[in-house]
Amino acid sequence: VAQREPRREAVPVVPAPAELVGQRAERQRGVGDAAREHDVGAPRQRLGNGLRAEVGVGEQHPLANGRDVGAGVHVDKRLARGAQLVDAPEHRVAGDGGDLRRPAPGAERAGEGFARRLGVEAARVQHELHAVLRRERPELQEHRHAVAGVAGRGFSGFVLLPVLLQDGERQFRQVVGGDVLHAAPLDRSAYRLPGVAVEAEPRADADVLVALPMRKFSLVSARTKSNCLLEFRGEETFLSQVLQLLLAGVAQGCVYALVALGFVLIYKATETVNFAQGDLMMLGGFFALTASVIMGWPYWATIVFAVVVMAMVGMLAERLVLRPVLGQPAFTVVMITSAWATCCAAWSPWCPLGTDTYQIATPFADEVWNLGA
Amino acid sequence: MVPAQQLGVIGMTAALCAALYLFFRFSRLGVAMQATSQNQLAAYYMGIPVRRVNMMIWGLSAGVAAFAGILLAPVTFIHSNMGFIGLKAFPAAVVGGFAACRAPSSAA
Repeated sequence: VAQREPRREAVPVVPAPAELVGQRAERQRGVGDAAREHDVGAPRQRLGNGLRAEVGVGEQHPLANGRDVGAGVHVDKRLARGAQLVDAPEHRVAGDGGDLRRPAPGAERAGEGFARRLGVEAARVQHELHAVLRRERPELQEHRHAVAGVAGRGFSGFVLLPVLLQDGERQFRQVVGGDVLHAAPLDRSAYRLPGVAVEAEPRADADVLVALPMRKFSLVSARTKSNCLLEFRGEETFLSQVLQLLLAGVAQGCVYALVALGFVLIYKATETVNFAQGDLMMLGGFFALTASVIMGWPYWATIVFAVVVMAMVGMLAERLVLRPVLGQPAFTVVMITSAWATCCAAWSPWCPLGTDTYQIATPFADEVWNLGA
Repeated sequence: MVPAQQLGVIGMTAALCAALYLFFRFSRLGVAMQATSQNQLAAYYMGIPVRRVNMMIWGLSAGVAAFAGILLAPVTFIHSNMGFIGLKAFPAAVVGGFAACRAPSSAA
């Protein structure tokens, strides 16, 4: 407790029982603003009269008086998306208090937005993590490299990633003191950072989440085992936003173009319009889903499977449904394909896959490429 | 910061278009499809099995649609109402020109 407090003394820390956040007193004065969210118990509060009281807490006080307590982020025990979470108090740590270095200005900003939206304390992460790791724990070098490898892949911003440590977060905190945010235990599935390029697979034995400050920020979110959502929204330049929107639009347009290509192919060849083109697309998607999720095929095999099967479906439909009406007015085909589309939309809820919404895992999902600066 | 997802969609669409270009330009079946689409009677007289070619065009079209569905799957997910996207693609076809599938060899 409070390793760097100037007046430090041994304080018995009694783990308080877990309780709902909302049941606590709104303001427990004497500990500054710290009492509301991290209830560390009376003894620590007393001890925390000094610097800890100034740690920015919660959404109301994201920043600590402009001054910097390098205490890092508390990631435990937060209100995540409106859910009240209960957490054992001993998992909560108020940081190590008195490391009074000023963080990067960007870190403050990111922390602010972060805290405002999610009620998590401001991200105060020092830049010296690498240095500290190197200095005090040379055996952690490899982790530092792993960290740097992730961070250095064209990605700039806060990177949250699990770090393997022998005995978990306590030792890690001890190593880095107030320099690093308090790290919440992660479970494997929680380690998912959409929009962030991460090279390393999450490791089962990695139980510490570390945020690394870089020059710029980006969108990072992760959910810890204690079900708190971490999210850092960084500064995105106007240009990059424009680029993103542009690419999103072009990508969507590409899909429309492919469906339109199907229309045009059939129109050019047979002078009729296939109104079931979108439903053919749906069927293809469901075949791909079947191959990908149920049969567990890789992505490329999934594509080949769905395309081949759908090509056969298309040929069969032409042979069985449309060839008999050859020579009839073109409107007949329009009606037939419209009916086909309606049947697809109406009957698909009775199919085994039903009305749910599915996602296919792609090899490039959740990756981010950094273009330019 | 560009999601690779979208670049993947764009790239795969471009690849498919290139493949279709090569197919219509160089393969026998592709040329036969073009001939059929220009004049079915003439193509029939030239010995092209028009019915079978039409069937294959339907298959090709369905395959392209399936490809579009796969590309769309990570973006808007797969669900049973995906068919309505076809209605959105219809204006795309109109804007692009319904008859605009200009084959390179026929232009030459």
